[in-house]
Amino acid sequence: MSNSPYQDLDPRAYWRTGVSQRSPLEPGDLYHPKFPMRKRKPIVTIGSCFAQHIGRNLRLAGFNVMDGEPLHKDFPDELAAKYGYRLFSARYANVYTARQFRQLLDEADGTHIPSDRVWKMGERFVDAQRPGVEPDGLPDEETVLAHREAHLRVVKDLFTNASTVVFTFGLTEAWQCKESGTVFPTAPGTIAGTFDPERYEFVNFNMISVFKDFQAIRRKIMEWAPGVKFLITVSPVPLTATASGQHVEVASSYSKSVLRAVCGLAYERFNNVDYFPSYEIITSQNARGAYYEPNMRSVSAKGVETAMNLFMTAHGITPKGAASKAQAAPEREEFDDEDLTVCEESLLEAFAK
Amino acid sequence: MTRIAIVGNSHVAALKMGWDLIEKDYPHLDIVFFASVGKAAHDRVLKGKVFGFLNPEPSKHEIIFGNHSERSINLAEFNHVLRVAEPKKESLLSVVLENTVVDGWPKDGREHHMSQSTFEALVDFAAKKQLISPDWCNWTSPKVTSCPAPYPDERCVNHERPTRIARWRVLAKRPAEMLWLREMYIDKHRAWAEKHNIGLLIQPEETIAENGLTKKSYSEGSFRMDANKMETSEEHIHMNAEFGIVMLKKYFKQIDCAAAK
Repeated sequence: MSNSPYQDLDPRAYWRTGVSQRSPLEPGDLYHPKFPMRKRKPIVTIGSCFAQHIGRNLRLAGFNVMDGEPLHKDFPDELAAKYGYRLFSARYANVYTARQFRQLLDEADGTHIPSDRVWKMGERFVDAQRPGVEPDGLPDEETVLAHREAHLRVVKDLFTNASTVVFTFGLTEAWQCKESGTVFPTAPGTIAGTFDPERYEFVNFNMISVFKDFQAIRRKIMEWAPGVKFLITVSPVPLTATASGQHVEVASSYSKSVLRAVCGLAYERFNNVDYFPSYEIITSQNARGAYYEPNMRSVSAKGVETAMNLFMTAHGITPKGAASKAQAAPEREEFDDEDLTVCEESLLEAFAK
Repeated sequence: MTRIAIVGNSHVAALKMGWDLIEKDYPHLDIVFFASVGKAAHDRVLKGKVFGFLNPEPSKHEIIFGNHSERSINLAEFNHVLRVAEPKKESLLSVVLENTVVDGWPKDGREHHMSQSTFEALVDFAAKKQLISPDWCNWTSPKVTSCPAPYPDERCVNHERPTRIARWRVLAKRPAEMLWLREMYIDKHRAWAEKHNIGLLIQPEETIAENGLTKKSYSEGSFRMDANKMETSEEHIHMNAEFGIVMLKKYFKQIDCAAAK
């Protein structure tokens, strides 16, 4: 008589011992790194709002998070964030979808030029791929394109020198130009531009297309930086709004499920891809919603701290910086920390009324 | 008689020396200087309108210049107060301009680009930071005026020391940019000051050299307040009596106290 394959497994393999019996807010043994993260090796961060937290905390912990478009430390984070500085390794702003990331790399490589590069914002002009980094806009299209060229040079240089790329998958929903297929980080008309249903259309990327985009991203960066590794995560921040016609909760679940499945497949398939389960940590039933702000969407400072502590500990690093700062900080600080996260998607909130 | 208190740090020296030379032309003014230097200068506090060393026992590094050697001064007894010399935060922008070209300026190999509006936001931040402590703001009487520190001597660009003015050397490499920045900075600083009912005493154009710093003639033979004595020191930071005269005359004009004759 043979034993069940579920007998004698590690306690982390069972829901009862792995979750139910775990102390509330104890993050558990959720992460075993596939490869170590070295503090001195250059890290490039990119992705959705949640990637900002990861980048900031890695930097606070002493990791070499690169900043290709830096603003001097004499200027405060709040001011820097308003103009897109210090949020990621370059001022590309939030890159919510894998398609947008792929498009950025192709553009930096000169193999693809997106359409609709410049959007109008009142009498001013903005970069359609990062409309939020110049909140006052620029005086003309030429200036926008000159800034974009300089930015693209930084992007290519960053990824060429990266040892690890940290990418947070944020969304599957996007808006694209019907004619060219160019996708945008925000719907035309949200921050800038004009929404023309004849020109733009809604797209909800499925698992196959997100995975293909990730494959292309990986391939391109490996061409530039052959030894590069990837640490991928899924943002635990639900959608602010959906254009899918579904209830936003259903749409969020679909979106996150697709992204989580892509991460699972990439983790299984590629030796140089590791998955960090920040999504599972934050959304865990064990946390009983405690890692979210009262709006049940934004991740609280405690949630970020818990996830990052788990990450540091798994990599043999004593958590400090963000974690110890969060412990010492008064409760008000938590809101301040959240305020530093720039999320164009939350502008959709303004249109919900 | 109009009573003026001039309080501050080592830069008070230039004004005091200037005043000694022109005092006779201003019989209607009674000026009390009250300065301290180094660490001691930071130990002075403001309580109500009494300013100075308010701890009962003097600390070992306490240094007092002027004010009849009194440890504190009651500013309520004056018509005007001039605070000398707030460190200029304008030089914060040097760290940006060192490797960043702002739109509209020639691309000269600097690595990064920045929009005018982003740069303007940084200038605004620096100007706001220059604003003196809230305790000094919104007084109706006496009227408070802030006098930023002078620009360093134009010759400092040829020297490596003192290192504390390294940022000015960076700015002076591109005088046109520095003067453009300065105009923007002063406008913003003035706006912040006016909002808080603070007067602003800006260094007059006539004292500015071609490279945007202070003409050497206003620095040569300057004195610097130091521990219990006045020492000659051409260290590019402090100015002389002639500079003090120019600044005082501008100040008197600003507060409608020009010379009687």
